[in-house]
Amino acid sequence: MTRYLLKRLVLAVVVVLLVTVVTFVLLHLLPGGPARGVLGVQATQEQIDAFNKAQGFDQPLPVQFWDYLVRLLHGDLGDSYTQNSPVSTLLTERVPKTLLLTAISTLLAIVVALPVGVWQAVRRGKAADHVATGVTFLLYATPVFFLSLVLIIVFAQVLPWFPAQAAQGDTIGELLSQPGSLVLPVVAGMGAALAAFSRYMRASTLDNLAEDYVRTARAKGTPERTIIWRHVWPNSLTSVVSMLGYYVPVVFSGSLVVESMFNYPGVGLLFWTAARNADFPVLLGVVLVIAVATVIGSLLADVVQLVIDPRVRVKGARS
Amino acid sequence: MTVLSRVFARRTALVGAILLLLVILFCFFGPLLYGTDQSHTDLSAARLGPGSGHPLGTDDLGYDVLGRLMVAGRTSLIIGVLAGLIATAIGAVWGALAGYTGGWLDTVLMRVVDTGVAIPALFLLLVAATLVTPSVGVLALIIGCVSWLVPARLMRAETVSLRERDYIRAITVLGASRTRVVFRHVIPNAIGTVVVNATFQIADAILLVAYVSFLGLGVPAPDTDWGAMLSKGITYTFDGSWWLILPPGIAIVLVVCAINFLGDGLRDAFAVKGRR
Repeated sequence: MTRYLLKRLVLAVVVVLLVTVVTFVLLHLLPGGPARGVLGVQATQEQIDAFNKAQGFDQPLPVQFWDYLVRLLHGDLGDSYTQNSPVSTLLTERVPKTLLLTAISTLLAIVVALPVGVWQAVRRGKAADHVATGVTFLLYATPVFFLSLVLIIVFAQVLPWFPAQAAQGDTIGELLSQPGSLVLPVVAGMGAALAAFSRYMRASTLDNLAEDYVRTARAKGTPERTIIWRHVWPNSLTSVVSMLGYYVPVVFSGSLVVESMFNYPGVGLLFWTAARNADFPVLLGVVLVIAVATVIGSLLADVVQLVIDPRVRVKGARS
Repeated sequence: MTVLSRVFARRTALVGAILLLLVILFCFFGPLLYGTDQSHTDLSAARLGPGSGHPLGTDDLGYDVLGRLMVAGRTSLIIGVLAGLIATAIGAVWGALAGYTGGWLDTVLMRVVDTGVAIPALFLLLVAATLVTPSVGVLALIIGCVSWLVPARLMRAETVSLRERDYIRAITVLGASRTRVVFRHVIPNAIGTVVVNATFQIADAILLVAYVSFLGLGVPAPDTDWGAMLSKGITYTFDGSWWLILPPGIAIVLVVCAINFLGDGLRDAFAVKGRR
């Protein structure tokens, strides 16, 4: 087991390293390099040369990459081109706010979706299953920005129950002190996750219901309720848990849109503004944070699965 | 029963197929019956509500919304289908190669997939949009190139299980080359999984096109797609111009739903496990 964990850890580090290579290469693929992005198309060649020299962009690429890595290891993500602040400061301000929003909506989505998935699986092929399937498909097919728009039109315009603009504030406390303004962004963020998790739980429960241990339990006269909640539920849960880790980028893409729709002061909004202003240090910083979060997410998912699912543990190192 | 009749035995799949057909007819043949000017702006007829002459009203530049919905749908559907097919093709070959070869090549190929998963597709799309001018072909290519990771994973899993089957071993012993085994035997035998996934890839690609256009990086005007229509309509949400937002939004939801229903039907039809 230790060997397996070590191997996973090494692979995780490799993936993070590869991500830094990709972001670095992309930055240099931009026409005119980062200089054009900052100075704009009007810049003269002298201005660009001066900028490149000042930023160290005239060095050979491997040297630049090495510098980049060394700085990253020291927590230095560079300075924003447009906002007078280091990227790391911007990120530490914004990340907790995004975590707050995504954690609430993902948790709520899971709490609703998992029982729905099991409920559907038990009623497979019945009308209730079809209806629920229809609703989840509808939710999955609705782009976050359209869902947000509909929510704004219905719950901020037609029925003025909630503000269309999310809470503003510098601290988590300030945001939480205006719970009404968090309702619409949270609900908008739940949509796709709700659909994905309930679909996944349904499939996973169906797979488990077809297993021999269920037949054995039934043959022994175990009540159906006990079979579902004592045996099938925990087993189905493990596969959904392993999906959670891979869900980080999806959640982020959703928050990018939700935050720009409701003007919520998180990482997504930061990323979106940076993208429009070609603020590459900020873009790269955000991408690195997400990439590391994704890698840690899938690592944790594997570890959790190792701990809660005896079948994985017995197979040991999984070759 | 053939696969097709099994698919259409499911009501949801049938509904999906019919819906999809109707949307295709609407987008590609609709303009023949309902001709509108989609290249010249007419500011004197800007933002008219639905009524006679314009069943779904006009937008802020005076384009007829119903006609625009058809033109936009064409762009969305073409890019979505092309991107979905490109993603599936790349993913299938990549996954089959990794799964069949195994060893260090498998490790390298799959770490590339892990890396791709960790980088948000939207980031790559944003960077790509600053590098090239988006056109239908370019957008399809870019979206296809950022969304092949899931089919690659699926194909690898499928190949690893196929590799152990006796008939593949037999062919290998008989001296078939690696390329031949992968392209002539592994990929065709995994085709069910791939076809099913392709439908979901197309649905996802249509959504991704909408996202990209929504962020202002879609095809340049006067061309448009559903995401771009929505994105433009947002400015007028608070003025009550609902006819600028709801039609393209509902069109996206409808098409993605229809394709997913069809894909789900296909999956059930291919799956042996659930057919007892």
